[in-house]
Amino acid sequence: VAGREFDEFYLSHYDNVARALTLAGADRELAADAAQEAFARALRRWRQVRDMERPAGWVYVVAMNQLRDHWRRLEHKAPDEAAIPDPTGTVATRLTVRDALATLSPRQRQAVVLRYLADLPVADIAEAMGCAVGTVKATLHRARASLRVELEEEDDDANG
Amino acid sequence: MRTDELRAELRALAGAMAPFEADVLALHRRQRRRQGMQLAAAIIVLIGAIAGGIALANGGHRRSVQVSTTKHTTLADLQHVDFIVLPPSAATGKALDASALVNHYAPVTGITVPLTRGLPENLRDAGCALEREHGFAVDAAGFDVSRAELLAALGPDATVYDVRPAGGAQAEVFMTVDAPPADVALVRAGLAADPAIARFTFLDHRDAFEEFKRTFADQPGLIRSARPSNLPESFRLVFVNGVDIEHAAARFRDLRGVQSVVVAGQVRTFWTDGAVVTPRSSCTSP
Repeated sequence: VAGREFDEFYLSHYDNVARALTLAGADRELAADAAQEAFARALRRWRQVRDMERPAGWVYVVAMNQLRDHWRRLEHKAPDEAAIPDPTGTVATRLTVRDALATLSPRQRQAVVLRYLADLPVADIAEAMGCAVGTVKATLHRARASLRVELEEEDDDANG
Repeated sequence: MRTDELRAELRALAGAMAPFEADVLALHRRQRRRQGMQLAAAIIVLIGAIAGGIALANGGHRRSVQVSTTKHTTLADLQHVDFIVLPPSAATGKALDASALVNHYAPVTGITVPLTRGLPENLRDAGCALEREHGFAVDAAGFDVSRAELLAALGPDATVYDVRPAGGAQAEVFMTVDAPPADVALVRAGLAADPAIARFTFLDHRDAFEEFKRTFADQPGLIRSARPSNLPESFRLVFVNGVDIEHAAARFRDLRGVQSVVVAGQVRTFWTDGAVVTPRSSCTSP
């Protein structure tokens, strides 16, 4: 039963995690592999992961750490001009967001993807990135400034 | 653009990509392969004691009499860690200074316990406590100092974690997995003849396997993949009082068939499971 439960979890989230990694700057092959590895880790400790508040969030974070480790191992920075695929090529705002994402630092991009695509709380991102909550907020703030995004009142970045 | 628009844009960008094909079978294969690697890592990497990557000062007699009024020192100068004590308050420091049970103590901060399975429970508990708050690492005045004694000396507000290895061994000499009996016999003879060693016990493959099963009780898959012959034989050593353990133990490091010599309380990096420190670490689960 646990096996099937994990398989369902994997099947329903794998694609999303790999897409998020691509947005964070990974190429397709790396994104697929890092996502797969993160799920393998989740499988290994499924009983723990299952009971977490956000099992999928855990996988996003582990996968994102995989990217960072991979880039570090290669001693090859995450490409600043990341080739985030242009799926449409036409819609102006998407093009703008995609281009703007590419100008962010790898760290900012990871924070943005974890926060605004994976919807992780700032505290989880801080743990993932090994830094203080305030640092993540500052990183997100700078990223938003680059992306020209105004923080809304109801956005919980303001309090945590 | 507002944040909700950014969210929508990110979702749209992600959604417009070609889908990634999930492969359940490949995932399970990867996990089995990893389990084999994990076994290999588990038998080679030994957890000495608490904390990350702080080098131990070499030499010196750890049981030397302290003349200074304060026993407060830095982790780098702490020769040995027997206990972790919380909270690191002035009152706790004063009690540690005053207690004859304590040789030295040093503040410990900023430890992250990786999601490492099979971490001995006493180490994990201490590590998790240190993840939440700061504490003191304590070098006790003797191996016979018990947790209860220290707790009594520090008062009801203190929490004390015993991070010494079970069984009171002060060092362990690990043979290579395939060390022939002749090499084992040679080490045994060396230990028996060494005046610094008060006593030692030998763990053969089967003993090591029994211990492995206890340590990794929550990972039946890992246990199934292990054989007694995969696990190294070892000698656990207890030294004569006053001996410089680091130095004495090092003598066995270069003998034929010896894989490694691990000194208890030596501060060394936890095995980090592929170096991924995950959120929540291993501390959320019981």
